[in-house]
Amino acid sequence: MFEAAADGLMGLLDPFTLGLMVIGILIGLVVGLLPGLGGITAMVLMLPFTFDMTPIQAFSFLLGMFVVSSNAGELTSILFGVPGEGTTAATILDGHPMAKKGQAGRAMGASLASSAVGAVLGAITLAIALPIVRPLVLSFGAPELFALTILGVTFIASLSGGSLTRSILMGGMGFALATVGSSPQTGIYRFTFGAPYLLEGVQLVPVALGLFAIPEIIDLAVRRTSIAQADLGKVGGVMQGVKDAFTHRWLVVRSASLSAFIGLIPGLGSAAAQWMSYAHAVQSSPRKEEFGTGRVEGVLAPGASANAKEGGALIPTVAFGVPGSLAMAILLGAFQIVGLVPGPRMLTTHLDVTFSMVWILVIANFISIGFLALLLPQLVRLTKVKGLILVPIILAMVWLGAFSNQSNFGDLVLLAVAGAMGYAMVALDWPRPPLILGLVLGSLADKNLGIAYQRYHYDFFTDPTVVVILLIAAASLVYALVQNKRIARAKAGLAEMDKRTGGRGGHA
Amino acid sequence: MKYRMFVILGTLALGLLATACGSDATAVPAAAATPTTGPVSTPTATALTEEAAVAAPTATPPASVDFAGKTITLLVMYSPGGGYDAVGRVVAAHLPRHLPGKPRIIVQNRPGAGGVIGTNYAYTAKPDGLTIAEFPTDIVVTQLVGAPGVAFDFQKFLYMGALQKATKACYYRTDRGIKTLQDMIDSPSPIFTGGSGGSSDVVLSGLLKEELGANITQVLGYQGTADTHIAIESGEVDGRCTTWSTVPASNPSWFETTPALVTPVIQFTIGGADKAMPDVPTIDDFKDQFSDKGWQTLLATIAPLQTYRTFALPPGADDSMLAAYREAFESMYNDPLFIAAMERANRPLHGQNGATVENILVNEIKVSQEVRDNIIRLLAAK
Repeated sequence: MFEAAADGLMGLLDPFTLGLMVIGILIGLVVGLLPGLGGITAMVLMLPFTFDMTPIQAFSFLLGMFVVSSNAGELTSILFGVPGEGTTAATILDGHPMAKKGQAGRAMGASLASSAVGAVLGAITLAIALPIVRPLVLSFGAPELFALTILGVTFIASLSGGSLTRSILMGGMGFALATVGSSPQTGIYRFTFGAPYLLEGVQLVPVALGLFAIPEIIDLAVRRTSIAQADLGKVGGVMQGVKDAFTHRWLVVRSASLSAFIGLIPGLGSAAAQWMSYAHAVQSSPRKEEFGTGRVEGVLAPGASANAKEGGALIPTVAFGVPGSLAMAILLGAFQIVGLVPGPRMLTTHLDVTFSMVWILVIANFISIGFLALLLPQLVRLTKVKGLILVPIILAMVWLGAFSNQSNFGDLVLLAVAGAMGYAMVALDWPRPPLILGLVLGSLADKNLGIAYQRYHYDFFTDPTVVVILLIAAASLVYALVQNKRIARAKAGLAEMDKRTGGRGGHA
Repeated sequence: MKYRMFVILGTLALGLLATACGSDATAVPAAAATPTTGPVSTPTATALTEEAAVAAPTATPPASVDFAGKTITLLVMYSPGGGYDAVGRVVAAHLPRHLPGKPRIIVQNRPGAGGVIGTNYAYTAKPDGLTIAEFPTDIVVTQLVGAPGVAFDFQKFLYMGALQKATKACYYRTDRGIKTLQDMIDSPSPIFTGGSGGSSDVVLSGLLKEELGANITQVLGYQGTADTHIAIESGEVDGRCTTWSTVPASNPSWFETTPALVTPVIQFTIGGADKAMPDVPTIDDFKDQFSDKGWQTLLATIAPLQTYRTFALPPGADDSMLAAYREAFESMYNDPLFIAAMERANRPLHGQNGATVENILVNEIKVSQEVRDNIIRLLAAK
């Protein structure tokens, strides 16, 4: 195994291969920094260039591109409140409020530092898991996956921001929206109202962009100021952010491991990973009530998750040919182009190629963080640019990002509807994350419950693994309920304090 | 060749980076303007490099058709990364040098609703020969059952040819002890057969159960081949009925052991076995046990598979255009470079010319209302 690891690294250190990786990184950097557009778009466009490459060259080119665009996407989430990848909006919740407070530099420093740690941990998880990955993955059938989605649902309670009733209603709405489209069991179309666009179901990317980006853009336009409302200080405190990552090192480590595990289970999908990391950060913090107003932990956890989950998601892709995320689906296309077949051979005969991917994740991350660190001072200054200059540009990018989902005008309609909803939800103080998590987990629960019932009827509820996971879910729910009461009390206390001091400060 | 690619990509990256850097006053507008030439109009459209095209014998074109300097769009009805996309991209790289004037072909993915959205689009595309389509085979059954959103008639497309021939088979875990169709009928416990809801595979399993009395219970909801194969490997289901060629192609390790992990039990082919499974009984052998309606349903379901990976022009293109494409297509699938590319992509080639495809899809498939109703019923039953 060590030999394969060394071979993988040697294959990568060839100057031509490294050169391709750097080119991939530069392309990904630009596309990733454009709000709303992500690495997926870049990867699809560049896929045909891999026709004449060897497998390791192709993967270093494409993975390098993806790694940097996911790092850059975190930065656009912080700067503009626009999710970089469409599916990774968790960073916005606390990152963007930090930018508004003039702490964009600190938030970006924290994000990059935690994502570096996340990439390394994701890669280590991947390397350790390689020998046992097939038996491990095969032990997760539809019943276990269903139980895991239920566990994920209980995280909704932690994302409530205080009001559990509203949170549950929004989660339920996400579940309801997830049932639109063809039924996985019968192929019968549900709730499509004769609209061909809805046959494929409600798409995550336009919904996430609409819910999170549109309200921020409207807010920026209405305020007629720059994004940052406070002074920046010395380059916005990038080093402070890096220090934060070390102060909260265990949170970073736990978020990265959790995300690598979620990415590893085929079919669970890494879209849920970032939200679960964020929810975990909330759960484990003694000052839960301050999340959403610009806590640095709320940036660290999703940052650590960003690349760790892709490390995990590589496993089902190489070992089974089941892509764990959109990016991995494109990578699977590259597999076919270079003539590799995902499967057990990737863990034996082609182990060096698999290991080279682990190395690519690590090396590309450090190169891309280097590039981004150079750009940080310029990026921080963007938060002082007049909102009226930024708004049209960001808005155009967001529409583009939504359209690039399926190249369907329906994407634009959905973006507008979700945007209006998002604005209303912010104005009326309804939580948005449970809706997204419900949409992501709803279709997984639908599919796996259907399979489990057809195969085992209700007997699967007696399976020991299922029982254990459901017990953990119940415990997590009870814990969240208790904590929620505490947050509500604390919020009431803060409001009381605000009234007395007559200001909004006091809880930075 | 490598260095040329290197330079093209390098210039592209540096150009993009240059526009993104600079002072903060210009950074955003410049960066925002950059991609408008590429991903904006067609976000998933992809241009192929000239490198892919190597000098090769050119077909003699009909005089009136010339594509010199033109760009042709090849529509693929599924997302990037799948089998249709992979074959589409190989064709986009190789077809141009067989067409008069050596045009450029770009792939445009138009996924959605199991191919319906893209096929609707192709059906109404301008028939000037600059838009061609990789025709999704399953769409035939989709149209027959009157699925929502269908606004095309597959029998009106102009077919230029097909690249593969697919044979469906039911295969089960060898350790489950099912080796013949009789074992399936006699099995005391249900045989769990995995698959995706709404696909034609569901109809075939349903026919085995209803017409021949096989003790099948379908477990549906898996998303495609890899997903179902994990379930077979973990023992969640016993097997599956689908296109056989994808099984050894996507799971070579299953066949490295003796005995192999799965055994094909029955193949759905008429008039002789598939050469990949010479010893497996064909459904023909059991024809006399089928009801007339059941047999007609079977024929309607498997007929389109004889022309797998079919390419077509939108209805209305003129005869000389169709003739030029048919000639180029046939010349392509006989070209050693193309044959090698398909081999590399692990896609067994079985080239068929336009006339053959037209005969099967347009002339042979005639379906009564009774058969349609039967297909709809079988898709909903388990």
